[in-house]
Amino acid sequence: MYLTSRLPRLYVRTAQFLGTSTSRFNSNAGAVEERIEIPNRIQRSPTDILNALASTVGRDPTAPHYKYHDDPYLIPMSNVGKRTFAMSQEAGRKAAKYIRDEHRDVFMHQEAQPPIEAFAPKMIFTEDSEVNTDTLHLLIRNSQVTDAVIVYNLLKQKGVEISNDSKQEILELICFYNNEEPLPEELIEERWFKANADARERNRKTWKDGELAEQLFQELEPKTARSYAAIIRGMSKYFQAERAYALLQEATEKQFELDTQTFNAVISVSNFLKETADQRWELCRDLLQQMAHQQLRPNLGTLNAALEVVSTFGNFKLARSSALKVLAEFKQLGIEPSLGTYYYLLIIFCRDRAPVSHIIVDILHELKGREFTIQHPKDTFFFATAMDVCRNHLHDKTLARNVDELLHTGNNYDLIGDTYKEAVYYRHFFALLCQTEPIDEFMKVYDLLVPNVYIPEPGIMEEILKAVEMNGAVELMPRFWSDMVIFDHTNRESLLTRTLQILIDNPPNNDLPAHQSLPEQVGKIALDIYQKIADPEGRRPKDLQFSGKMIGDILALLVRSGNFEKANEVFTHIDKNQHRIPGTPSENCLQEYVNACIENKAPTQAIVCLQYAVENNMDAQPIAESINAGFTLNEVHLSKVKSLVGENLVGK
Amino acid sequence: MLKLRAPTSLSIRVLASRIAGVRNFSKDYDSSDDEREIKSKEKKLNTKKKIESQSTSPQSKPTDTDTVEEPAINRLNRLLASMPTEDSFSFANKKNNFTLARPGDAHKKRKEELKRETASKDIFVAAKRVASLASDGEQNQQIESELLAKLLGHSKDEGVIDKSNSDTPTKPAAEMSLSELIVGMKIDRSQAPQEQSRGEFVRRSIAAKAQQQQLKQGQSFGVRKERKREAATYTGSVNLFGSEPMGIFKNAAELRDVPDILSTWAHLQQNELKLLVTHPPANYFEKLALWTEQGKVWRFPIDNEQDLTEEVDVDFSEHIFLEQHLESWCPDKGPIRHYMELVCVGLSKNPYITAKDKKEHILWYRDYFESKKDLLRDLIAQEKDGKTSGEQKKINA
Repeated sequence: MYLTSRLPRLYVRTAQFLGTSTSRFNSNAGAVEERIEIPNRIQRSPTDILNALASTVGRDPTAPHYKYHDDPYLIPMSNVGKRTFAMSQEAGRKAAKYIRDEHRDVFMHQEAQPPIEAFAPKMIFTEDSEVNTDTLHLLIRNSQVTDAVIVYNLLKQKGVEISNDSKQEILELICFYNNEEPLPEELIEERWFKANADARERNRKTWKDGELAEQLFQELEPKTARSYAAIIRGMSKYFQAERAYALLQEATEKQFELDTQTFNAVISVSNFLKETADQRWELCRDLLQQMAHQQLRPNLGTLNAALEVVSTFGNFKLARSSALKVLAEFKQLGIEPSLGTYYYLLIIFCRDRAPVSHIIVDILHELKGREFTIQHPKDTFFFATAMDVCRNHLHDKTLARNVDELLHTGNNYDLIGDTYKEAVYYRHFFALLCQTEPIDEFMKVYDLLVPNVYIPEPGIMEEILKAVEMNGAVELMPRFWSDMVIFDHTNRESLLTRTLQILIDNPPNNDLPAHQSLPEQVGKIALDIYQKIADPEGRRPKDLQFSGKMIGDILALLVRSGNFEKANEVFTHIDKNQHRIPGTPSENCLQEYVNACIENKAPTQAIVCLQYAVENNMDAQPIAESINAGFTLNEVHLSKVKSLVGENLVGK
Repeated sequence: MLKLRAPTSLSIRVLASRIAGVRNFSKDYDSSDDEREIKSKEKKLNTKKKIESQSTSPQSKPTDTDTVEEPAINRLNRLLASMPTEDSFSFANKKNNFTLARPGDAHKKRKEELKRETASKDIFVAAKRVASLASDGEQNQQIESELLAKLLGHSKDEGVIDKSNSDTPTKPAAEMSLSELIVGMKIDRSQAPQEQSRGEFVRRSIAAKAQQQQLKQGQSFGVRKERKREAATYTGSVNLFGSEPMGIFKNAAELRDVPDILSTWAHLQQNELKLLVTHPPANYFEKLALWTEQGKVWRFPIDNEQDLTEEVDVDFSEHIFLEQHLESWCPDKGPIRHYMELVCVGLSKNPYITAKDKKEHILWYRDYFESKKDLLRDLIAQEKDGKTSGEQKKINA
């Protein structure tokens, strides 16, 4: 009170002071009264200032995501690791919640004033609970489906009069969730990591026939347009298309005025009602006609629903022309398409079994520099699909860069969807870039995004290795190998084989400064691979096995890096396990090994090697010759060699 | 060509591996891309050689037959003119080179071509005659090519071009210089796009032209490559909103905006959309924003009376100055007054109950004392008596 009455006076005094001080500086000003305009207060929401602050932070691709513990030792570095970390964090929260719910009697203290409802244990409704329609309403608002149903039944048992409005509300709730408890809102990580499981559920009828929703619908008397709308939308959402359509017709016969949303729902499932494209198109047009007849203004949902139907057409020509007609029609009505609309356009125009379409060029042209907010559930599908088109349909890196630019415009990154879609997006981006960009350019992107934003899956890693192979950029191999170790890719045989192949085919060139420490590193990589396969720690030994070529390459690499001791060990392994290793090392590898034996003056090993070559039916002649030339053999060795390759050969 | 791609650090080994590695690409058009580039490079470098080789190329066959008595300049001109057509032919070849690979094909093709050739030769002659009857000069040519286009349609696009090109200098050759010829050629080329039946050819020749232009300009490799490929598989840009509308919602003015009739559904839908774009917080501020939305922390602007819904209109003075509730009933002095003042002090320091409760608490005492009025009076009287009697005792003593 005191302060508020005092403040204006204070203000006036300051203003006067300011006024006098300026006039003191400005001799001409005289007694001009300067008024300061106080701008009107702008009403801010509680999170506005936080969001403003958050927008100043930005994303630092070199730092791990905020949710990971800020400790280098604990930062997860593989896809599985990231997932495990985030999910266990959330599991901890869940556990705490469970304890609180189970032992609510121990957590009676209420420290917060006002009380924080999010921290209070969940209400449990039993038969004795005191309930009224307000409770029901609250539960419906918080989308607690199971509890709402319990309370509804309780109310009925107790003979409390439930108004038709409340009945309608609970009908809508149950139709929306198909009488299943939704994932609690606060489990963000679970939602972020889970969504790929949903993909399989898609387009399958999941509507619960004859269950609570329909009972409620039957009970509701008199039926209104709202009750019809609720049940129709529910059935359409869970793909009970036939009955939804039947109910729509029933409602129309009874002269109920349905709304745009309900029509949208039925239009979006009309591909389940008819078999051929023509019939579907006919039905879609028919439903739109009905809307026009009822003078309902269609909205974005209608546009996307119509395009969804069009996207199911097998005939690409019809699909393309119809899609453009739909677009033109809605443009005429002044309906602004959302990203979801463009997603549908992409799947309509860019198909595997249709001619190449460059529609994405036009779409990107249309979208360039714009920011989007979510308006339709399919909006989050756009970016992953667009990148897919760039890679598989057009193979065009410039377009891909444009898509990426759009993604990073404003808050568009929110529309990336979930981890699954994000991974798909980057998978396509990386695969495209490593196929089309020079390796240096590609490495810039790689350095930026890996490992904090994206970790390449084994398939993409292989693409990257192919690019390295093609460019002969062997100096990058130590880096990629350590990444592969960190990302947990080392149990993929194809990756190991390719890594060895690259190292074998591109011997380090000592003249290049980048290759200075390479021979040593290559030896380390080879040894690392050998050890990973030879003695797997904590892994099932069956996971990975040597092939003859692989271990031969390891042998040769060790020899090249000058690690003769380890090379001996590897060769002993080869020799001992020759029946377990499928295939044999290449002759070149053995030759290199024998040469190293000669250099290191180890005739016994060389002769074992020769023996191995002979036993495995390889061309032992060059090996024998080099042994003969390189060593002055004693009698024992000489006779051994002779017995292996025959008199005349050595004699020469 | 490949050197242009990465001129600084490309060793021969890389070059070789690249050419070999091209096969590794999953898309075959990519590989054909490279080949095409090599070709066009060759073309550019050895133009002369090319002209020679051109005359043997299958394209120029139809024109080859009647070149014998033409002046040399004419021939050169014709050959120059047929260059882009060669380009386009190689495009076509690239596109369906798998058909060429079949063994019987070549023979069949040759046969077919021969047939077409003879037929078209007749047509050419006839068309020329008709044209010359009608008029002469430029128009002559125009009519002729139109006739031919009508007769032959797509199939003889290239032939027609060659023909009309070769016919450009119908006037005596002595009157013309080479540059004039080339100018004439250009005019002819610009005519080509006007003929509608040649959509495909036009596109190809434009693509070929663009390619040549790009070769001349020293553009960076990436951009050039991308554009060329686009041209090769060009399917036209899509005018997103330019198609003919369905014509269902004809009178937009009459349409009604109907709000969602299901309020709960709309609320749930909105919620679901919001959750779709709610990602794990990426920094502390976002986390705080999330907590604010969940109601776990104070909302901004901070107000320590937040969510005190009951007491929102109650001034603090009503909590503190409670004596006002005594004035109406409490005696000015005496033990009850004293007691009640202590009650007021205690209540004024209690933050846990509302002002209304405090007032009720005080009023309860009022009622209590009221109900015990008689008893109190007696007590006070007794006390007085006791006091007086005591005093008397004292006095007495």
